[in-house]
Amino acid sequence: MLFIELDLQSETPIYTQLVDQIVEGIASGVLQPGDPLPSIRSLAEDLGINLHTVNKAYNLLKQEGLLQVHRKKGVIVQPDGMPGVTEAFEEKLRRQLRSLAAAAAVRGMAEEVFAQESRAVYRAMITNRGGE
Amino acid sequence: MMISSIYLMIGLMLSLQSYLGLRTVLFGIVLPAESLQDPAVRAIRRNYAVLTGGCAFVIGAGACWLWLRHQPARGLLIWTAAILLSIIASGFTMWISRRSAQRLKAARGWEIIVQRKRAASLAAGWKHSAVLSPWWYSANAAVMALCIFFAVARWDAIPQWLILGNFLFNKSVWVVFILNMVQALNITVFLCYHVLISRVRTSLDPEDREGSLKKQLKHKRIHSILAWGASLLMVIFYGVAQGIALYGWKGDLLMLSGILLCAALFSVLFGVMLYLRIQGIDQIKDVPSMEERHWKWLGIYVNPEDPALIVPNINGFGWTINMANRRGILIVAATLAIPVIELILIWPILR
Repeated sequence: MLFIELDLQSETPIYTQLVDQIVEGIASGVLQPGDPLPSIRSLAEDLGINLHTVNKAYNLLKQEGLLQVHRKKGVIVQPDGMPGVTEAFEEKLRRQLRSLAAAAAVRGMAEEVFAQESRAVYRAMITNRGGE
Repeated sequence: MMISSIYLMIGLMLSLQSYLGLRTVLFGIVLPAESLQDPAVRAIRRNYAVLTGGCAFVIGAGACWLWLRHQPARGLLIWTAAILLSIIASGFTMWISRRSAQRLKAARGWEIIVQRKRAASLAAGWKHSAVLSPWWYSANAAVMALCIFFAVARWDAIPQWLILGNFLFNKSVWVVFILNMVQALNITVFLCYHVLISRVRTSLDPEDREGSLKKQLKHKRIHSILAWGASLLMVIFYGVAQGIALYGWKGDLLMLSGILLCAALFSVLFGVMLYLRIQGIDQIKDVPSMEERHWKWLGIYVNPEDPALIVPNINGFGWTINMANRRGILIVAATLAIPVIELILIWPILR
């Protein structure tokens, strides 16, 4: 079972924490295509946070093509295959990596070490999916 | 005699309620874990139990004396007043205990760090599966249907004047089926309670997600079984009462079945409370509702920032409604309407 854990004192917005953890759940295989997720109200109640925060997180994931939101079926993980790598996604990835790489370079981390760390994190993320 | 037994049970439950619920919560005041070893904390709980028990004893003794010596015909009124007085006395002793707890917390300098982490499960539907299926209530409905069937089938055999306890009724459709309507109301109310239990918020303890999840699922299951069982027993009791009134069964059966019902309900209730306590299932930490500022007047939860409708009661057994939620106010209004509906049902008979 996948648990969501939020830190209300974190600098990372709550909706971002939600999005990140759901995406990690899908990447690690704990959440499979077609798996239902709690409704917006149910998850907001369980976490004790505003409905709009959960709604925003679900909407973001829906826009990225990772979730489907149906009136009757509720919220489910995309059953029809995950969206592929797009130019927009690559641009977003470059943007996020730029700031991480800059922080690493400022601290004197070698390029190879940075690459190794990135690979290790990626591999740990997909371990549960049988190393796809 | 039945209502005096009910009074005894209620008095006992009121006295012992300080020992229910989270050990780190003392009459709505949140205490740190180290307070568990403090003898002053145990003393406050003990004093509440003794004071409330003492008040219940005095009120009960007074009611007994009044009932037996002066007003034997008004037993129901006297014992009902005694129950209400005991509840008021319990509220007062709870208020005193809460103030003692606040003073103790200030004196010890205990600081509570508000938990800023939240945890929940992403598995949809699991919290509904913890409770009994609503189909179990078809057993209750079957008992009611059987009672109605016999009343219809034996309509002609039912006498013109019906006796129930000290009351005499003229046979009519309303009189014959009034207890079936009460059965229907009972099943509806308990079914609604059952639905509420299945939808209760299940916020997990970030420090023990799996453990708190198991506890909450067990807690819900036990309560749903308890509610179903209580409803079934009451429906059967109403059926027995109808049988006495319509078919001339022995009048003593009403008293006996009433006493058995009360004894069964309270025994099971005590047993469940004891079981929850021993197994630690009553130690449910509902993180979003743990801040004292949201708990008003000894157990009323008001938190506009919390979207949950129903949260675990900070004082122990069961759940309570978030009164900042509009749906919560509707539920309270509907609950208060139940005795009004019952009065409307029996009014034609009383007239």
